[in-house]
Amino acid sequence: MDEAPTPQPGDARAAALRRASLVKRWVAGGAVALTGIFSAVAAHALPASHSKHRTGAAASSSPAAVTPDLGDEGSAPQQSITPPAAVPQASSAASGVVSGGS
Amino acid sequence: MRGEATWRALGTTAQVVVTVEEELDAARSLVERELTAIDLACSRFRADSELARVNSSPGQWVPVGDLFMEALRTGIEAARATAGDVDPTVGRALRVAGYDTDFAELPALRRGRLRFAPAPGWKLVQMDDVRRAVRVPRGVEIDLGATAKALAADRAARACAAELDGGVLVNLGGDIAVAGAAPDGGWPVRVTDDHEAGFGAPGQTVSIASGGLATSSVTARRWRTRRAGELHHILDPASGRPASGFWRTVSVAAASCVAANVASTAAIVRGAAALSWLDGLNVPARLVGADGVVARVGNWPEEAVA
Repeated sequence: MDEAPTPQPGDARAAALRRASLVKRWVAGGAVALTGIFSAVAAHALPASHSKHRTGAAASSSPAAVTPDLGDEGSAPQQSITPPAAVPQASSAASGVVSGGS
Repeated sequence: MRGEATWRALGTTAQVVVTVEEELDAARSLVERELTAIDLACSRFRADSELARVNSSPGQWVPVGDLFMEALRTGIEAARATAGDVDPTVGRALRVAGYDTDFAELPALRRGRLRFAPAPGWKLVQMDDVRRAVRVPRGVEIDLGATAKALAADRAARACAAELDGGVLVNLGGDIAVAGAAPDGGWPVRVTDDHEAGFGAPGQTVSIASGGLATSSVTARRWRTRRAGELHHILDPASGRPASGFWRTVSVAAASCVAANVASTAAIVRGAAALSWLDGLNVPARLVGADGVVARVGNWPEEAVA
C-alpha cells in the first residue's frame, strides 16, 4: 500500500502564491468596478454647472457647454450696476412721465 | 413737438414718448413688438411661454430662443451683482406665497394655505449657449419679473433710437429707459410710490438724459391673505417672505433701466444696508423710509425750489 506523498515546503509556498495572486486580481477588479460605479453616481448626482468645459461629443441629454460662467460674487462685484452718463437733475417741470412701484 | 402714447401691456402701463412727433406711430409699433416678444418668452402666467415650458420641465434641457436666453442671463447677472438679493429662482416662492396668477386676476383675499419658501438659488440654473437650452432642477421655478420688464424697456428704447429720428423714452410700469437725443432740459420724471399715480402725486421731479430710471415700492402689487395679513411682491429670496419694508419706495438712476431696476429692487430687500451699498456703487438714488423720510445718495438732486 502506497503512502500519500508528504507535502513539500516548496509546493505549499507555490499554492499560497497562487491564492495571493487570485485575491489581488479580485481586489484590483473590484476596485476598478467600484470606481466606475461611484463616478457614475457622482456624475449623475452633482449639477453639471460645476464643470466649465465639456466635450463636443456630448450625448443628447448633456449640454455641449454649460453656463452661466459669470464668476463668483466678490470676484468682479456689481460690474453690471453702473451710474448713468449724466446724473439726474432737479426739475420743476409741470408735466412728464411717472416712475413708481408696479 | 413731442408725441406720446400710453396703453396697457404686460399687466401694467406702457408708454412711449418721442421728441419727433412724426415718429410716434413707428415708435409705438417697435415697443409693442418688443413687449409681445418678451411676454411670449418670459411670462410666468402664459402656458405657452418659454418660461412656462422651462418651469414645467424640471431636469430636462428645454430649447429656448435668443430673447429668453438674454432675459435669463440678465436675471442671473442681477443675482450675481446683488449677492442673491434679486434672484430669478424666486418663482416658486412667489407662487406658494399666493402670487400665482396674473396680478389683475388675484382675488381680493387669498384663502387657502400659503407658505414662505426660500429661493433655491440662481447657481442651480443651467444654460447651454451652444444649443440654446435651459435646465432647472426639480423644485426650481424661474421668475423674471424683477428684470424682464426693464430689459424690454431698454431693448425697445434702443430699437427706437436705432431706427427713428430724435429721442425716445419708454416707460413700462415705472421702469424707464431713454435713448437718442434727449429734449432740452432732459426728460422730466416724477418719482413717487405708484406708477399709476398722476404727475402731481407726492414725490419729486427730476430730469434724466441717458440710461434708465426705475422705482421699486412695497406699496404696489399687494394682496391680502387670511393668515399672513397683507403681502407684497418684492420677496427676500433668502426667506421667501416679503421684504421688511424698511424702505417704502426706492428710485435709482443708472446706465440702463435693467441696472436701475435691479438696484432699486435689491435696495428694498437690503433694508438699512442699502444706503452704503448704493453709495458704494455711486448710482444716484432716492430712498423713502417707511416713515416717509427721504434719503439721497450718489448725487441724487435735492428738490427743485419752486
